[in-house]
Amino acid sequence: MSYDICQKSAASLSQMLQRKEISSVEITRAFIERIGKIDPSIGSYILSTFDLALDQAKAADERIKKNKNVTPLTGVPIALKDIFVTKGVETTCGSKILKGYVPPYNGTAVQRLLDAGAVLLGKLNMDEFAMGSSNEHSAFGPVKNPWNRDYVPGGSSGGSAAAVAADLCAASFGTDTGGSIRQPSSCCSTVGLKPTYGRVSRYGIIAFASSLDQLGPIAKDVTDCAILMNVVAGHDLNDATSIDAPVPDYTKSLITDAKGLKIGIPKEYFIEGIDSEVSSSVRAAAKKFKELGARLVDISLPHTKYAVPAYYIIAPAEASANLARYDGIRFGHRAKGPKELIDLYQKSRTEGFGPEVTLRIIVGTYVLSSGYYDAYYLRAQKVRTLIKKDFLKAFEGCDAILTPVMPTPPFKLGEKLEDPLTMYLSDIFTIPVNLAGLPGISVPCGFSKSGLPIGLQLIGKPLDEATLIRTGYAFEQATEWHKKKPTL
Amino acid sequence: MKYETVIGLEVHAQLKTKSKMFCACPTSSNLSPNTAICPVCTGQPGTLPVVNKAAVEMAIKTGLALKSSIQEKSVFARKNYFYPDLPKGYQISQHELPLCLGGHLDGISLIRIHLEEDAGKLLHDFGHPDMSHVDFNRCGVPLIEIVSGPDMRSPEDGGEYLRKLRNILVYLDVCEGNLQEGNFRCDANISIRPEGAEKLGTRTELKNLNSFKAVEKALAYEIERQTKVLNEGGKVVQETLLWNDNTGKTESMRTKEEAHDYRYFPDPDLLPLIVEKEWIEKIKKGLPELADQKAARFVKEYGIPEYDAAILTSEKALADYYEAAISAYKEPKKISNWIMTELLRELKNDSREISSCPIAALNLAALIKIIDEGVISGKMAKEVFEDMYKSGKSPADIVAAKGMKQVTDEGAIEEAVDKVIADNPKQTGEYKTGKVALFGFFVGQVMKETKGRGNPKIINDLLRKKLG
Amino acid sequence: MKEIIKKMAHLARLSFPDKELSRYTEKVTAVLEYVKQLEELDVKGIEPTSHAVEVLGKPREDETVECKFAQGIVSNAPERDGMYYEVPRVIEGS
Repeated sequence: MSYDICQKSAASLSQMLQRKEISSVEITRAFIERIGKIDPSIGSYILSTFDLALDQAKAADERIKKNKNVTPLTGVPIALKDIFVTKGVETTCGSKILKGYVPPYNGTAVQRLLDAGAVLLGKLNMDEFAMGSSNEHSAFGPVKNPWNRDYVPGGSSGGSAAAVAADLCAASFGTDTGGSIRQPSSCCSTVGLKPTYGRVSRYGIIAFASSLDQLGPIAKDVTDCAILMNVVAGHDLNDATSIDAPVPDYTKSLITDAKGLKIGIPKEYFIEGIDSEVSSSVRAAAKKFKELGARLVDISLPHTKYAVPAYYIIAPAEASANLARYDGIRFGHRAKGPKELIDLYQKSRTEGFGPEVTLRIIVGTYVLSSGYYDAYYLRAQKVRTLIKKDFLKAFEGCDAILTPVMPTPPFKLGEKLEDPLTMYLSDIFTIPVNLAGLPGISVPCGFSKSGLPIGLQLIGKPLDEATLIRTGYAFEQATEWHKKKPTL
Repeated sequence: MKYETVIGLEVHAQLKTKSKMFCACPTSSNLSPNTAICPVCTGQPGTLPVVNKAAVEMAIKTGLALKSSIQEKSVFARKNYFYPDLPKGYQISQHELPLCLGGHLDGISLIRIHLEEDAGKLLHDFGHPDMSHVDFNRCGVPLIEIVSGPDMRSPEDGGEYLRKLRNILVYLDVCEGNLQEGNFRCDANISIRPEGAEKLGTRTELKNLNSFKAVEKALAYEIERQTKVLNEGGKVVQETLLWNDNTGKTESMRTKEEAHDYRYFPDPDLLPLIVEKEWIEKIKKGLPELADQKAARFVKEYGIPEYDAAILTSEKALADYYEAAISAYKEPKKISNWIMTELLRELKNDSREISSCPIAALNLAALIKIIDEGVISGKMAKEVFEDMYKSGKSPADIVAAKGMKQVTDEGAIEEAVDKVIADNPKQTGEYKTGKVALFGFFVGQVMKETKGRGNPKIINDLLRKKLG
Repeated sequence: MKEIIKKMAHLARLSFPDKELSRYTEKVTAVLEYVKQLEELDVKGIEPTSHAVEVLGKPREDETVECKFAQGIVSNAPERDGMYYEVPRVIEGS
């Protein structure tokens, strides 16, 4: 019985709660039990907050009983990537340098989720400071792919995708700087939506690369994504880059056909080197869209291949500044017995950051330093303009763009750990979307012969998450991929 | 060899906003340590800055008053360096595209004015030999940095520029302008070059200049030091020097001077600051009258000499004092005279600011009024003034308490005159036979008789009449 | 290159033993080599993009909010003296 509960989508749980067929406390207990049983073999949670969750569940049950302020999330147990700042709950960002940090405030998205009555089961594992595509760069150990524990769950929101796939929470949130919501969603056969830059407030998510970071839902299906987006989307005075634009009710876009939609297929995303199973799954998905009434159009995004190199200048540059605040003075790790200030800084930081973060800080420092700025950073910012223009031009002829999420199915743990450049290339199809600030969704579209998930990506126009939800939903309802469960 | 001095000044002025530059913490300075702090200004992970509109307005006001060109688009940039008073590891400032470009102040060119955030405070006096302590209350208070061109040629030029600049900021009501309290801070770049040379010499940067005097003294010291270095065949080292007010010397900083590389780049958390023309126009309309305009008006409206007007407007508080007095008693010239002579002298002797002047403007006006009305004599007035300065009381209270009211009753004075003539028959005789120099003696005697309160004019008139 | 990486590490307040420095030098060099392919593009006359979306940031009104976070903020300090943060002694102005 209890596992059945955990398998259900957030929307179904919400319906059951509102029909009073089950209480939030019962649901929460079921998840707590399952996490205790299953998660040791997955490693998706960094921190569980079960006592808090049960308190929140009780409060949610009260709300439902009194029928006061009941939302589609009231009483639904979710979990958050440990990059979300949670008041009074340790927040580490997957790093040793933040071990023990107890934030004094809640971020905007977190506050909106708590206000909606969501139950917080805990904080999910991730690549340290969201830097990675395999979740192996975590100070708290790797996360394993629930579909095959020898494989990576993707990253950096690997814990979020794995926890949803393994039914260790009803839904979760991740962040996406270069693909960190969509790529693990593809790896774990979940649905992940990265909203338009500025659609959701970044206040209270720990910054990696501020001009690229966005947070968004990772869920079991498109419907849940729409419900979660309804809660977190919208302008916030605490984030100067958040967009003051009306937010539609995303559940209104849950329509089962794709009639009249023009879907662009960029030739640059089906290149040599892309895994044939991935390629054929996405091409099959394209065919499905045609059956659903969409028109397929060939488009070109000529600067695609420059997205990864531009990203690996811009993101480390911003990160090198964003991560300067971890200095051992106000919070987190502080080296023992430094004689001088410089020792305090160097020791605390060198001990606190893992190798990938350290590498990117050095790269970022380099590309911003005097004498190199123009050749690297400024040039990358200009290339960013070209990439953005590619998309704007493409969208003159289509409503959404269909691509693979990643060029291969999930890879093996350890396979790319020592070779950062190969690892970086697994984000080749997701990174351009961040550089252009566009919304993108990852929806399950198949499995490899060896049983590993494959996802498709739909890219939308600025602020047009609704079309992605509609297109994704139509595809999902016409296929069975999202219903498959890993054996655990 | 004769050298020419080249000085450029960088002023950091704290803006008088209620809240900080990027968060809603109060800017007040006298709070207990680390209480005026929030997640944003202490750089907690996940926090983001939001620009304070009033700070932008104050910077624009300053730019307009200094004839700068206000940039429609300016960009906040991160200036990266590690220091314990800088929580984020970078300061949000403006670099390539500042809010104001150019401008000038009395012949000194300005390069730029930009907005940035202040750092926290480091304290070293906790009696702990190995530790410093950090207070972030000041961290995030809005600053404008005003950078002058290398246009000053002497320490006095520098001092004058600073006083004028401070005066303008105070007039604009954008800064308290207090050097000691650190809300108006100055760093100086100084170099010397052979007279007639075009190329600038190697400069040093002077810090820790906490008063106008310190600025002038430090610059003078540094000119002497650099001259000596060059005359001895040495080279001036480009470095940052700290002024030590106690020893009267500049000191090289003991720690290794590192080549800074601030790695400025546009702050991705903040969109470009767009200042629309209408906004600038609106601010321009609301600009207060500045010192020069005020002085011109004083000359025209109150008929006082330009010299007086310049002094009276040298500080906004003084000009306000002057006009407050005029509003109570419309004798601008007399009021000006009293301020220029008596009041400013007393304040100077006392090293007091006009803002803490014990004599209220209305009381000074009242004093002048009772002189004009003949209630007290000019001589008595001096005494009353001194009393007012000491006690802060109104002239009426002082006059009443001391019974100083001038005797203007002709009957009473006539009585005294008659008595003096009667008591001094010898002198009366001599006067009448031509020894007119004795007139002063009679005036003195009558004054004595009236305890100094007799109206001098009436005494004179009566004496002349009675003595023939 | 190793010297440059050492300098960059110092700017970022990181420091490594020699062997690790060599390893990072190798990795950083590989990344820098890789991103060099941007040089193939002619970017003359192209405006740089710092933000993906072009919206106007609205400034905040100058209003204060009571700071109720102070205790929670300061209590995270690894070393402190009362409400003060504590750091190894700093020579003023350094």
